[in-house]
Amino acid sequence: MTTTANTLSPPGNRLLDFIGYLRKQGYVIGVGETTDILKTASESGYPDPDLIKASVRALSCRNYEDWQQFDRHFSAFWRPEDIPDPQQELLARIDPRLRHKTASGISGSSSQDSEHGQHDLPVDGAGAGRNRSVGKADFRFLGDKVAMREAELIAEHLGRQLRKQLSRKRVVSPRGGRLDIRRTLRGSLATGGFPARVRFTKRKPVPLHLVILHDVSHSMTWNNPLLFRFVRGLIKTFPDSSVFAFHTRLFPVTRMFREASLARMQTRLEAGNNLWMGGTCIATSIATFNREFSRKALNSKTIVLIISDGFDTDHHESLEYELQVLHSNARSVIWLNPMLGRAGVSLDATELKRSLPMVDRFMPANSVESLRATIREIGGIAI
Amino acid sequence: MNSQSVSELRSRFTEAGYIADTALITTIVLMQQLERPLLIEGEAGVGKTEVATTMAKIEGCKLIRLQCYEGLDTSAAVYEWNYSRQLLSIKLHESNIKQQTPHIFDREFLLERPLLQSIMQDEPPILLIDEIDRADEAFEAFLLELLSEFQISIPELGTIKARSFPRVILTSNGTRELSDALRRRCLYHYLDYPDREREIAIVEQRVPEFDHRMTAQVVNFIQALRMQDLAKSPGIAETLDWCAALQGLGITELEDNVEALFQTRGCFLKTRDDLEAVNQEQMATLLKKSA
Repeated sequence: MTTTANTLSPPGNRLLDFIGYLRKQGYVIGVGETTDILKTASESGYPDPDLIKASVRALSCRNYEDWQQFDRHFSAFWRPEDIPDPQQELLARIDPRLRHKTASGISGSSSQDSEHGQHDLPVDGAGAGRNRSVGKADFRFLGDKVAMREAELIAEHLGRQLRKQLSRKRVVSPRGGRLDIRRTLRGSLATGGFPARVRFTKRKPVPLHLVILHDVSHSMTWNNPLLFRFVRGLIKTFPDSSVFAFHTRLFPVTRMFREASLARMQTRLEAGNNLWMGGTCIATSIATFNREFSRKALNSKTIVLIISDGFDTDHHESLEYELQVLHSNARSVIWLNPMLGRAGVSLDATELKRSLPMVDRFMPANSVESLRATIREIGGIAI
Repeated sequence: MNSQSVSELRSRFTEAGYIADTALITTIVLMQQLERPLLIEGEAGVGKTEVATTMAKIEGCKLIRLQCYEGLDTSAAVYEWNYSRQLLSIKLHESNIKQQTPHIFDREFLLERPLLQSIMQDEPPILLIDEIDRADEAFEAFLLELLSEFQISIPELGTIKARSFPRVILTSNGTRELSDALRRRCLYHYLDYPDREREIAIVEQRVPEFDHRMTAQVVNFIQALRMQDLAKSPGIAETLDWCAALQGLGITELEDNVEALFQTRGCFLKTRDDLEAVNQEQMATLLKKSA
């Protein structure tokens, strides 16, 4: 991008506008940072747009995602004519609906929910209230682009929270655990050999081992942008875990989920999956996992997460059998179903009810709130 | 901050052997002007730690490094009392009762660890807090006080204020999400893999006697390799290691020497999965494509 000095004038106000624009895009820029940006820019006399850009970037970005998106936002603000619509473009990468505008919902449930007034759920407000709205909104109806992005961030953040919960539970308090004689004796030197302060060893937190079987078929298209972020958060937190995607066949995708860039992860997922918009063979896919990957990927402490809406073209008997094999090799099997938790859908009404003995928990995965419940559930099992 | 100060610092970095881009140099200038810590994130081997080393070199100041790890606590990072010396002092006092009672919680019994050392310097040092993501969250919370106030509270001595403000550089590989509070206090820079031209310049700077044509071949191959599906993409450190290895083995041509490339793959492929994933044939194809 080439930015001329003219585009930055009158500089102070425009910079303030730009900071406001960045805030709307989800950047957290406080008063201190704003002051620093303006101070730096005015002291330098607004010399070189590239320098201004680099300094605003250093002061406003907090993480890799902010950093990665900054160029786009900078161009969109200072040279809007060069950029079609950054938000549309961003969403086109994360939301398949914008790529396939003809899609109108799944299995007729959209119209039903529309009647319940959920369609294009307005997510207004700010701060915690807004957070709650975003948290409760069904993934399919996050029409507000900013809300969609917020929900994605929360979903990814949730995946990372799990580790914190586990760590907090396992770090031993000063009164707990096993006596650490060496440290106690060393500490007693300070009090002339009297062990005034007894030290304890802490149990090292054992990282959670997850295996995630993620349905990427057509029927999951609406939910997957956010669920991808959720899974990505889990994989970042527990690097030993594995992810397998499936539709009519199953394939390992852990490395793709470890991509630092979400956009690159999406591109690679799509490139390696020609049947993205095809049907689903859950039983066949789980059978492939049991046969080819389970020995290496599973151990007695593994928690298996199946993320699927349960729409299956395979026979249910084979699914029951494969789930049984899977369950016998893992510590626990949790099925996250985006259809559960939606109006008019319950486990009793689906074929999945027959799988109950082979699955420890069926949980909804249609909103950020439901994912939060999942985190609590996994935390409970792991501890 | 102006273009001149940025370009001056950039050339000083280049002279010291670090080829940096404008964005990084601008951030470092800002860090010095605003006296704020700098958080550098990026993949392993892209030169995060080297930024601090180079800064210390060009400023001619002391580099104090704190390597973080799980379980790092204040006694290893901030200070510890020299208990054995305190005991010895008490014993000496007992044998000579006329001697004045020693004050065992005095500076002379204090063992300074990196964080305390960094604020006790007369000349501002560079404080490198390396791989902060490996430290526990409790330690990260402790750092907040130091980074905002530049003071350390020792119950027996009181609060020790900084004699000079160290310039703090924190690095992270992103193995754990850092707290927002810590991020908020820092300037942020993401250090990515360098582009082809910059990587060639780095190799020529660091391995000057390495053949120019070979440098281009090595860099092209490494750049192509980074586009592959690898568990650990090769960083700049790997490129430099590989150049040194090729030079040491006396290999002067890469294009018709896939065997040599394959034999030295341990320099740039660092996991078993990657070694299995990239076979000799694929290496030859990559080499051909990248030429």
